[in-house]
Amino acid sequence: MTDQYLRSTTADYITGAISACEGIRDSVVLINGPHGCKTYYGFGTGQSAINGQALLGLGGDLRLSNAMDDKLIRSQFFTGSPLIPATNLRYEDFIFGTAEQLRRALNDILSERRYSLISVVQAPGTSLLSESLESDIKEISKETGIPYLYVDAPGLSEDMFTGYDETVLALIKKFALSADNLSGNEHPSEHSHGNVSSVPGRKRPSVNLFGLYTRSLHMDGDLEEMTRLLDLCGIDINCAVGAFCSMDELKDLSKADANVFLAEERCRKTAEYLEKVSGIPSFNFGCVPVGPDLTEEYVNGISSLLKTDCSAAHEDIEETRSKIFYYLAKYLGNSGFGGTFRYAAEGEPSLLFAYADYLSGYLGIAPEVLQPRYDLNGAGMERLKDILGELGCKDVLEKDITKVKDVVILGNANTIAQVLAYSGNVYGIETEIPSSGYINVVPKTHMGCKGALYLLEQLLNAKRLLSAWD
Amino acid sequence: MQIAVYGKGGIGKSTVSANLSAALAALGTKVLQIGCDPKHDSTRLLHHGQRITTVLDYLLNTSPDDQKPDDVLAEGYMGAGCIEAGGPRPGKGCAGRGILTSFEFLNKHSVLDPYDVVVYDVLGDVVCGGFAVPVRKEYAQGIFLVTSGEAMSIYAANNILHGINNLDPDGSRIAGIIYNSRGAGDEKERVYEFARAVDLPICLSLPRSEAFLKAEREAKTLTEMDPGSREAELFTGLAEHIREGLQLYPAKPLSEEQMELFMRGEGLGSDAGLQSRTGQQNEISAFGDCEACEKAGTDKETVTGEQRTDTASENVQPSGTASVPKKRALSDPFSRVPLSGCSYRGAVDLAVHIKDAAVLGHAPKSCTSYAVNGLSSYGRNGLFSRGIIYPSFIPQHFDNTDIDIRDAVYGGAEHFREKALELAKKGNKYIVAVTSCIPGLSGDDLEPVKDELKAMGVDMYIIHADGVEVGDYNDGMAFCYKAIANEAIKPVENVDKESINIVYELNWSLNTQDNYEKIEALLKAMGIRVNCRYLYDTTMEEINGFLRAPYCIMAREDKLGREIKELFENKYGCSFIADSFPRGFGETRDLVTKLGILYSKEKEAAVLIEKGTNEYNAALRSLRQSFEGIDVMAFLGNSSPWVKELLQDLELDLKYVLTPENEADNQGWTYRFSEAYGKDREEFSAKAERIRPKLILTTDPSILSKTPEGSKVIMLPRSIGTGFTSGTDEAYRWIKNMGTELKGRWKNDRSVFEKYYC
Repeated sequence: MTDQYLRSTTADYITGAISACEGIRDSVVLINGPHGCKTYYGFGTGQSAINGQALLGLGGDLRLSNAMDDKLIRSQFFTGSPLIPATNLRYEDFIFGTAEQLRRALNDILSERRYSLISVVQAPGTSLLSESLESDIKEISKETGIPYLYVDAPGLSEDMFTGYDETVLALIKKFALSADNLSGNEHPSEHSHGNVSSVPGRKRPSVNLFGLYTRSLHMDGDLEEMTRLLDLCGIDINCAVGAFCSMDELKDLSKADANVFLAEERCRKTAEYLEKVSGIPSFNFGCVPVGPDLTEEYVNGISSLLKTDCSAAHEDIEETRSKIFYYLAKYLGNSGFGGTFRYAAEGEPSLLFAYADYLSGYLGIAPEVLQPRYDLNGAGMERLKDILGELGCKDVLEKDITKVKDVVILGNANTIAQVLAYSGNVYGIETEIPSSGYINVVPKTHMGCKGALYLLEQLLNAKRLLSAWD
Repeated sequence: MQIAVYGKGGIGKSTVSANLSAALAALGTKVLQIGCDPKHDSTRLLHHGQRITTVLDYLLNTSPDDQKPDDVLAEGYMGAGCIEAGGPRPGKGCAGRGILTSFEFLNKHSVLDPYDVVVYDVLGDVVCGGFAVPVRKEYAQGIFLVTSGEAMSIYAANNILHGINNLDPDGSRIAGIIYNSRGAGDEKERVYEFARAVDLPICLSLPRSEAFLKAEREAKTLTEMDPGSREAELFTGLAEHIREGLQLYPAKPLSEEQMELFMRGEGLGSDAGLQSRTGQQNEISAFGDCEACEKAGTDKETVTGEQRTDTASENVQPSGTASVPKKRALSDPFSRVPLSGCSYRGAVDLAVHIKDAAVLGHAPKSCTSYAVNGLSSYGRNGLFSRGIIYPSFIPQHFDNTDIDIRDAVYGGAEHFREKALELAKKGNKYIVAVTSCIPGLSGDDLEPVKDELKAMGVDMYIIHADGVEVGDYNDGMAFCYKAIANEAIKPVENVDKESINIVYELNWSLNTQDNYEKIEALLKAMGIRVNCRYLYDTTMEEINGFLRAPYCIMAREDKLGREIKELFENKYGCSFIADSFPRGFGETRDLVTKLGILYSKEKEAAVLIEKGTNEYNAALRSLRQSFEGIDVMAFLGNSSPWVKELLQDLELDLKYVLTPENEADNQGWTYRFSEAYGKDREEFSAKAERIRPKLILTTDPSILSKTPEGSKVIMLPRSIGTGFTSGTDEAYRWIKNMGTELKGRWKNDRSVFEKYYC
């Protein structure tokens, strides 16, 4: 048997671009490519899609705005899946050009439903034709009054988060900070003071939140926790970019008192750009807040910037700390997690940093393997190396996550399944898609206070289950 | 002999090609000229400016069923054949791809076969994979470079030599240079110096002549208009040499630095001068005999397409039966029945089932990520829902070239080679490489890597699943099945008389393994061993030894399955016992009987059948009680014999059964949305409303939306398990589901649901 050569199969630029576009509420993303691309680039997204077949059993004329109706089943562009249609290109289009079929698709898609935005993303093969298609899209956009974004270069094999970041930036430049848009907006002249927004008409200060994205396993829970924590600090969210914000919220981006950037791999270029041109102060946290320490640092940073009172958030964090202490004392009071209990994790460097800070720094669990993916030369990687240096375990970056056994794995279900199939006993904590298929009804998160407790719950159970194998 | 004429745009290639074709025709040679330029004016002088249909226009506007090669073939001077490949509108599409498509069409219809000489007049430079087709696909044995003494023309000629050298570094493909004078300064010396520097003969030196212009104004070749002219005689001389056979030379282009020095007239550097690098005197006198074009024993060859092209054609061929719906023309939007998935993933999903082979994807990251995640979804789902690890769905031995934009633009063959060598160095003895859309569009030629690996003792199989180029998921599977069957199955010395092959198991279902185990148990009870599962959870060793088994069973039946079966029958003389695993009692009994006879295991078969019959009858007795008093209606849109057998054996109180008039023709996407189907559905629903049966069995979920109060609807699966009791097992599921009604107060919250979600 041969080894696993792909240390991980990661999506690339086009997936990030699609994620950024579908992160606008009520928008549609049209892939200019064959249906194969639609099938796969739509994979894992489409969170709001509902299988229409399930509704048939309920009888009657029940229709959902985003479910498969007759139109979507029959349409050659949707073929039964309500999100991310494709132009259904064929071989001949690669000879004679794709414009005709693209126009056909746009007219069909926009004829019956009112979308807030149509994004046309070139599939990899189509992009090689280097066709000039924007005029066709623009014309139909003008006819229908639906704004558009055209992503013509989907960056073959380039980093997924580069695609996400650049596309978010393109959306912002086109819709939020375009000259037309800015002219109608009132800019905050300075930042807020003492729980008061500098934006006229707003009582509380508000922020734009960057770094959440639709392909996250727990995006709903992440957004809910971020909203809750900010609320405890007396801050509203003006726009959660990429997390199903509306076009209106995106257009009003400049009406926030601050821009908050999470995971730096996902929003570095956006942060750099907005820091230069938006005139809005930035809070660049660099990673997602995992565990009570990072969460406290996070709320302190934002509150300090906006001069709000974050004592309620502090109380919440304090309660979280006490609960963590209680459960550790109750179940692992004598030994803590112990030296033999280890974890392996995969993900963006900044995410791994956050896990290491909580799991190793706070909970005292040693890492076995940390497998960074995406943006391996960025600031997130430096930060990760620094913390691993402090923990004295930089070598964990060199190991193969698929070779671990008797550890907790924080990763996607592919990795977890692979280790179970070929290596040894592990306890899997899913952190990203693809997932095992577990259906989440209650929103979950690994961020903030709720995330710290949810992770602890999983780790405690992992400890018990892995111990049972000893 | 096939000849390609290359050169800078506007240098006179078409004039040269047409006059050469005319001269050949005048000598009695059957000649065909193919213009490979979207502006389609190559053959104008041969056919006197007639309006001829280009191949690409024809393909775009003509149904495949109506396509005939004669429609794109015009007859020109002295019977010379004239074809124009054509191309897209300027600024749209991909002309290079158009050339490829045209060639595939001509190849498919054997258009070139009747001709002694084929002349390709190729647009401009070797700008992309498409325009390199005459060279790359080895259509043209001999290549003429047309150039004047102008710098840009010589640069282009040198660039073409680079292209040919890249595509065929070890071959001798160049016939020589045709110097077409522009009458400017010292251009003649410059062309002759260039010819010496690149070690090529000048086969023809054409003076600048008004005679060509006059002939062009008449839409004729000079050969036709004034055959006795000095210029026409030159073409006659060249034609005679071609008829005798051309001496061919390797491409030895000048490097960029050498070219720069050459154009400045400063020599070629220390290791090369402006002398012939071989020291041969290869210049010929203008208007004189072409001494370098003397007969060199070049064999006349007929064009044969590569396996890949043939296989691709097979996939789009209609089955040949009268009932097959007519295919639509390419430009017809209604011909776009949505394709399911992509061929890259189809091929990958199969390739990973060869456990001792490394799989190498030649694709961008995302394509492979989705292919692997799609495949592994069955593994993840199996682990989560059943607690079973299915290693076949968790690919472990996979690598990818991660094609980037450089590979797409400059070609990714070298990148592919590096990755393949890495895999070989890791100790892999078998590599299955799968290509995606991008290398298909870039025209990567990966075949040489196979030879290189072969020398290292590594067998590589390349599955050309070039994404959109060859179709959908099923096409990708077809390519993998066929390529491995064609290349990996070896002759065997001994046949294992008590073994059998299983072919074409469904590669993406968690039930596949269960079904296999049931079949394996039947076989085992008769003392028959499974030799190879083609292609499911197998090894290259088992595939190599496929012919050890005297018989095969198909696991399932459809168009692709039939094609694979035919391949095994025709190429290897394999014998198939059944077209699919048996579904239901009758089919299982028949298969076991047949196996007993063929393997001389009648006694074992009789014991098995007796046992199976007892189990089946016991199940029927129990089920009949359960179904007592239940009236049934059935909508069988895509039913199989097992359903009908089961409905009959259960002695159900059938009130109404609707099946399409001709099931074989009325299945699939087209039928599903046809008027006839809609009428069937309406009729069934109306009857159901009237009869109000307790149970409705249906193959169509949409029936659910019009279910009468009190009726339970059960979806029939397209397929069930295998074995004597597979039908009755399915009927038990119906009984189990009969008791599952929508219960609970949640149904009362429909209005709230509609408020938030609709």
